Amino acid sequence: MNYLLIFESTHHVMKAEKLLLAAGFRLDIISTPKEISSACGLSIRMKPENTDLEMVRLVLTENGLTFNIHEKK
Amino acid sequence: MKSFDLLSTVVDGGCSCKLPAQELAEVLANLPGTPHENLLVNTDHHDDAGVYKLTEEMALIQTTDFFSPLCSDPYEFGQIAAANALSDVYAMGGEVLTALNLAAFPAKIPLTILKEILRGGIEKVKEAGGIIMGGHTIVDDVPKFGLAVTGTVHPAKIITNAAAKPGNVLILTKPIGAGIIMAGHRLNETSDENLQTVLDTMKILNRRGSQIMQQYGVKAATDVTGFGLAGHALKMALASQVTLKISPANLPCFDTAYALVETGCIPGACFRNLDFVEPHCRFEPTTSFNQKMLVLDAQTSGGLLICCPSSSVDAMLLDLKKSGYPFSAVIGEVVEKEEKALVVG
Amino acid sequence: MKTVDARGKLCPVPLIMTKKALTEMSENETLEVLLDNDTSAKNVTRMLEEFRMSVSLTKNGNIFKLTVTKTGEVPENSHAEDFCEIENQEISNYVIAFQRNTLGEGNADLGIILLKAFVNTLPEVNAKPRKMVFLNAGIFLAINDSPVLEALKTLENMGTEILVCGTCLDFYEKKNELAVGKVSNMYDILEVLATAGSVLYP
Repeated sequence: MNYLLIFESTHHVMKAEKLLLAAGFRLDIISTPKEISSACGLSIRMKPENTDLEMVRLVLTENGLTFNIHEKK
Repeated sequence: MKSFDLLSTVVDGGCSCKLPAQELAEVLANLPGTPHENLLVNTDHHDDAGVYKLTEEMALIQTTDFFSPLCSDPYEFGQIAAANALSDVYAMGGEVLTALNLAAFPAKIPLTILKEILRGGIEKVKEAGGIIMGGHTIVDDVPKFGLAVTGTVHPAKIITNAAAKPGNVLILTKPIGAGIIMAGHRLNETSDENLQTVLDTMKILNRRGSQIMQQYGVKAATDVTGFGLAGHALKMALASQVTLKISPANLPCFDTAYALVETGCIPGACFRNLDFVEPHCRFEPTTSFNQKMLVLDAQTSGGLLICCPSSSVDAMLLDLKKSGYPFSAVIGEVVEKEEKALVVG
Repeated sequence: MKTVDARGKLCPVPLIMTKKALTEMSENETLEVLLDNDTSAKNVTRMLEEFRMSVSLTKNGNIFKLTVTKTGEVPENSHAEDFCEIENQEISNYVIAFQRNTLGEGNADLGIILLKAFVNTLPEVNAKPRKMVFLNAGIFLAINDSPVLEALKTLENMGTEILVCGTCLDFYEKKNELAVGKVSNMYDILEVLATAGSVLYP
């Protein structure tokens, strides 16, 4: 199971990636799965075992980014 | 050095030179045993290895295997013989700890060849994370190489031959037909490319397979080697007191293996294995002669035959395919004990 | 009566010779097989019994003589493809050539992130590439710390072959940092591209 962070635009994804990587998180950029409807074709995938979701939320919301979290196999 | 063909020293190589199963059973029968409360898996079960409990957290796995050359290149031979010997540790769900080289070599062949065999073996042990502790070499007409291996496993997580349960699904992680292709190659009936695919598959360690089995809580498995898929499946069925059903239509096999059997290219080991398997096996009428020979074909350093809990099959298959076993496939199931311990078809 | 002389031949040659002879004979014709060792005699007999033909065996000194009358057809199965699934159906006949570590032209940052999505999504796609080739800046995808390394390793494990240009690795002084696939050369890479069913250039 992985966390999928879904954003509203590609610019948001790019900004989020920079912020999260700078904060030391590990992530992958992937194509948004077909079953998730999204304005943006790219998403961020993170593994639960090395991700503190609360910290992720903090980093992103502090920087004005809104997003949804999905759990995907 | 590369131009010396190791195969020129042998007639019967690889696991085809195992003593036939019933003869082995006769020899071992009624020999004094050494029972012990710490002996968790012993030779009575004819399992892949013996297991001895050291502490509550650790048990030792011990196993050995060696044989004469089955390919021309000495380094490759070392790699394959080592992978084959290490495989039994993985079939028990363990990790490799240490290994000893076992070698026999003719006096009249340049020693550089022996060096290459040993180098192949040592590098494979290193790949398995094991430590080479030494070894022993004797003079013999026909070269032989293998390892004596010690592995470790948690006493509560040992994977044996004797724990297959009805409802388990059978997964095989490597293709079969290796023996047939090697025989075909000796007769120049199969391409170098096909042979190389077989040799490369033999070099693949069953290590990731073992780790995946532990991840999914598998309790029963064996590795497929000299007795063929049918022979090893039968041993597991007998030890577990169940019946294993194998479906020939789903078997992964090497390119051209089927076509070779079709021409009659059937290694002697198939008939030896048939003698062992036949009394306990029902080959359904839908199983062709060719398929029968395929499931009896002796493998060297073959894949793991895993009894997977039915709820984990899809996930385990995906993990196996992503971990270096792209031809893993569901090949049958375990059912309540029937009249015959093995059914093919 | 047809005779097959398999003396001096080691298994499985006597089996191949016997099966071939049977296939070429007509029904009710008799075949005689000459062998000189016990194992071959046993195995050929066994094979003929599986074909449901009755065999009689006589031994004269060291020579075994097997006589069999062809009854019915020799079992043939022309549906090898049904049974043997070695062809990994998930690998298609296309090759991907990565000439840079970005995708498309235009904004550089977008190019980087698109390429990451491209490679990371490949393991989920049904038709996986047979091989992938990495050239010029493309090599950066295959070295240590590449953001797409895990996806490349997964693809390699699933059967995709990965070739990385040695000249390029050398130019960028990254030869020691190759983390997936193997070092290749222009000759091999050309062969791969020329013999591919199709080539994708992201």
